[in-house]
Amino acid sequence: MKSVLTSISHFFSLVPNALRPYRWPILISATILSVFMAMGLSRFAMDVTMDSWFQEDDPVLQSLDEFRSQFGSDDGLYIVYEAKDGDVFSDQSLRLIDQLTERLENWQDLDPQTITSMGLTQEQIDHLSHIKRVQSLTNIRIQQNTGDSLSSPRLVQQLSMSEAEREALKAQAMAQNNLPLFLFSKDFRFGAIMVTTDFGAVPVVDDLQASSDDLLLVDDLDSFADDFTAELDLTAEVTEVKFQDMDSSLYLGFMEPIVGLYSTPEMQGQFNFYPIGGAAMVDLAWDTMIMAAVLSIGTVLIIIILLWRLFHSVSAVLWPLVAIGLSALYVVGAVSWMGIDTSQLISLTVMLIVAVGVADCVHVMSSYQYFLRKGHGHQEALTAAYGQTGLPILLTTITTMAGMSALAATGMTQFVIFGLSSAAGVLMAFIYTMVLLPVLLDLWHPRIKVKAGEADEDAAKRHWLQPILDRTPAFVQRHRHLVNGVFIGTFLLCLYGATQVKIDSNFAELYREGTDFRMAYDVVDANMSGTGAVAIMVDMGTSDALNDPQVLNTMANLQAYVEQTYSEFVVTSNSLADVVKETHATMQDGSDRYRTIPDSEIAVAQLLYLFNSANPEARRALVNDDYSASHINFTLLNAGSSEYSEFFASIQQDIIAAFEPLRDQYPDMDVHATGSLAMMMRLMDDLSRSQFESLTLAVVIISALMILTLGSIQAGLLAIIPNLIPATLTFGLMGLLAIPLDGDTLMIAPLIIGIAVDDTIHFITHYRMALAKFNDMKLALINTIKEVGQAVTFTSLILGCGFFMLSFSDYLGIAKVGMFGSLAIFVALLCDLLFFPALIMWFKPRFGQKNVKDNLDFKGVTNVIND
Amino acid sequence: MSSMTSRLLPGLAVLFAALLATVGGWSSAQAADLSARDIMQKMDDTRLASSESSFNRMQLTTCKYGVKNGKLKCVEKPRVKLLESAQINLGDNNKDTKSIAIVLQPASEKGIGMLSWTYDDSTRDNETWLYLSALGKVKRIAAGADEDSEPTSLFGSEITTEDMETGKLDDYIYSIVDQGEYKGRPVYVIEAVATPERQRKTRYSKSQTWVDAERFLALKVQLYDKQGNLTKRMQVGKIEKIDGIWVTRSLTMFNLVAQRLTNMKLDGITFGVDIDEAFLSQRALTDTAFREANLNQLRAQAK
Repeated sequence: MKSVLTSISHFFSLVPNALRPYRWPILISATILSVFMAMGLSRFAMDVTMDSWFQEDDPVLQSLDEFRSQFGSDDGLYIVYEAKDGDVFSDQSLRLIDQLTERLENWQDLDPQTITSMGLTQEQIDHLSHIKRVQSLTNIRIQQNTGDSLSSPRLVQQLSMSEAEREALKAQAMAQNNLPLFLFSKDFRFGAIMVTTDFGAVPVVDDLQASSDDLLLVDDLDSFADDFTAELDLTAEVTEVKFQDMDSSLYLGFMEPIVGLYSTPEMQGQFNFYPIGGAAMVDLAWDTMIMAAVLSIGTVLIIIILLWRLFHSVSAVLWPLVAIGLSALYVVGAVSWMGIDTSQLISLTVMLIVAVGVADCVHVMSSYQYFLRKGHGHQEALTAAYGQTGLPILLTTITTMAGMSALAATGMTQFVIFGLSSAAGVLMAFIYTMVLLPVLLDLWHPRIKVKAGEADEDAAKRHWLQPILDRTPAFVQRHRHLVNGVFIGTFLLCLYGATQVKIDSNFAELYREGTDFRMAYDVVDANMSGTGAVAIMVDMGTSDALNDPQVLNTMANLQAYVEQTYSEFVVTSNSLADVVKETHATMQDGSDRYRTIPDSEIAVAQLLYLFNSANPEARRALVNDDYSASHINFTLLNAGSSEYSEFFASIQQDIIAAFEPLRDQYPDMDVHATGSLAMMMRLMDDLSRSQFESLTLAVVIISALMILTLGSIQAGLLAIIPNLIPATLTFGLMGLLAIPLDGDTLMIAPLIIGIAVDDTIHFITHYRMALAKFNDMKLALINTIKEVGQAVTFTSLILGCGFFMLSFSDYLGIAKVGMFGSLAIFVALLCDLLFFPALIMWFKPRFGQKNVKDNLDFKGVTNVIND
Repeated sequence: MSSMTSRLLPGLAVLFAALLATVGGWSSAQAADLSARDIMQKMDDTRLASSESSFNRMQLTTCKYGVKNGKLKCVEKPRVKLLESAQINLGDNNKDTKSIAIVLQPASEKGIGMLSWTYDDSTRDNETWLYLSALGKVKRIAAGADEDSEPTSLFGSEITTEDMETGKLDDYIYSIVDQGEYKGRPVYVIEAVATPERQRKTRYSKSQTWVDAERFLALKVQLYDKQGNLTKRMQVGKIEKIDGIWVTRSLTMFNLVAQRLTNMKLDGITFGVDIDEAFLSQRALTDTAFREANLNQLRAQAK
């Protein structure tokens, strides 16, 4: 083993000199490749929908797709407003909401002066063409049943009224079944405008059978209609029309004029606005991305400042930055050229590449500078540096790649892409460090000015870090029991804490308190019908089953039961049964006595006929064309995924209990909960399970590699403990502090494996190599701490501070990664500098070597250079 | 639900006008100098005139469609509705109307009826009565403001009231986009773009109509949604001359997005029949014997 390690190290030490004659071909090839990859960026595509997380044949996705194709997407904007005068029915509130409703409905009529005064352009206003319908207090109609006459007057017929009239109006509004909590809160402080859009329902033009440009040409449809006979043929080919994918720019373009319309001084003087819905979410996600970008720039700045502070050299700053840039460019470019749609995880890939790229370069340059300080010339120092760092970098590359590839084993599409692209990125960083960096350093490299007459050793000492590192072995020896005690205690405590971690994702809690998003969620949950929704798909498998009073009664009973049993989540519900009841009452005397499902199937069919004639789109959104499938909708208060999961599990039991008696009559029926929320719950389950699996796999792979490299099981196991501490600390702290581990924070695990563990591997590998060289534990440890200690401290400082910047994000998904990531990095540093030496002093592992001096007395040692 | 009744209002007259058109003996030479707007006006005039005192029986067939061996097929059991309707014109200038429509099939909807009285006098509200046979109740539906009436489906089919609307020529700007021969007939292709005022109400950004240059019948219509995508197509099938009037006996509306079609077929038609005004009353909705007696008379005259 000793000779293998030595020969690998030797091989890496030859690399810089071997590449030197080919430096121009290398540089030219790298430039060409970079241009090629940069060209690929124009093809970059991101799929941020939740669908992208599932394989196409996943039952959850199929269920939701089926639901969407039957009933369409319901991607609207729900603008909740709070009246500052405390009354959404006050004259002022009604007047302004009427104005806003009118502007949203008839945006074409806005004159240029009004548009300019709102700081908008005509082009921005044109995005409002996606509005299909606007419902607000001032345009909503109510059903009136007077004697044998039906009418549907507006709820609000005049905008200005006396107090007595206002009270009567409120009473009338409260008496409506479907308006309270939908358009106003029960204390009248909050109101809402529902904007229905065509988002997700815009057909792909190519799929439609348009006539050719020659209008007089006769196509298939022209001739089909001549002799139409309604022949049934189930095998005929149907062209399923696809709908355009929603991309973020559509939402963003839509939100701009909407926000402009309600941001006039008069509106802001009267109301606070809280928009909720797909468009509002994307708008917010965009803000988050901008903030993340700003913070990333901050991270890069910190990296630059620290690189400068540590190396005092422009080239030492430039080359790591080029490493980051090129590695990221190659991965994103390659993914784009391959036509793979990535997810938000691409940002984690880039972060990982930044970390690994910087670490690889810093290790080489720190070592290079160390040898320069010792008086070596450029080529000599470069050879020595690659000899020292090549093997550990290879090892960390392999372990990180293994850790990331382990994610691919989960089979989840986005994890496979994330895992493999990250692994490729790490490999890119390695290739850069091994091939391009020596060539670049040949062109331009940091210089160390050694004062005339100054001893080499003094020069090496000059860095402020070295004296601290010199004193470290003696310090550890003096306090080794304390160090071991503290670290092992912490490790055990964190192991316990990790078992206590609650995996729970809460949408609202992804943002800090006080942010707009969090406030909107809180307001809508506390005052309106709630921010969550779940649908129960009721597919009876038989045509006209939804005309059956038994089926409708079962639906109505289930609704009542669920509303009552889960009142802590469920706010409102609606279904086809409600429509039938309401229409029934309307066609009778309008009283509650008839708010029932009629007993006869024919009566139900006729009420549904009426509903269909009046509003075929609403009908199609609620029940399919052959009346075999419908759905029950519940609005829910926001909660964490763990609570929701229990709720979903138990509601599924209730569904079975309610519908099973109908099984004889409808043997093909399929009733189950679906919708985005149900999908998210499955995703959370999958995420936590796959993260656990891939983490375990990664630990096994890394352990095996360590045992193999270090040539001894004892040493391998010894090395694994410091490796595990950063990860367990993160999860342990979360468990102990009762911070729920959400979907985003779960992603920290692979990052920690990628970053924190790397330094430890550098440290241990170097110690192993030093031991092979010196056959003396004391010298090996001192040498390791001095040489690798510097590089490890540098990378930890750079990456730790860089990650810490992210913890300022409003989006806690990013902030937590920043916070816990930097914590893990610094803890890993302490493990390397304090805990690993203490463990060596305790167990004195020989790594399978014989004749090793195990005198580990460092008393009085502050500066020993042995090379 | 709250606006259900207001949404049912757009006139029944639309239904009658949908399938009919008279021939005015126009020659293509005469029509040669007509503007796009003139052509649409002629089409509309003849269509409206034809609905005077008529009785007809029609069948609406709706299904999801597919193609097999180059033929159009229903890929699910088609929903078939059979209706009978009658209309007379009244008032000073024959501009008021009374009309009734009764569903014969399917069995579950049999006897559903709608009675509608419209008045030319803008100070008089139109009146509509709805009858659901299974509940035995007649409800008068009070007219709502026209400003936000939305198009509704014709008896639950793919055809909406807006698709069949007549008049309102001022709401559109017309242009002739092509002319020539289409399926053996001389045609103008007229494009209609809604005025800004009309844009508020319509579902469509524009339409293209293939108008027979001699008979002034629509042979084909393409309807574009607000994003400018073609979403619906109407094709006319059989055209026959009955009592000197050109009649479209079959038309098919394709919903290209949902891939569903509704075929509207005229089984029987009578023009200029003498319909007793007393028949077009609430009694016809509720009194089956009275209704059948009147309808039998009309059916005997139908062709």
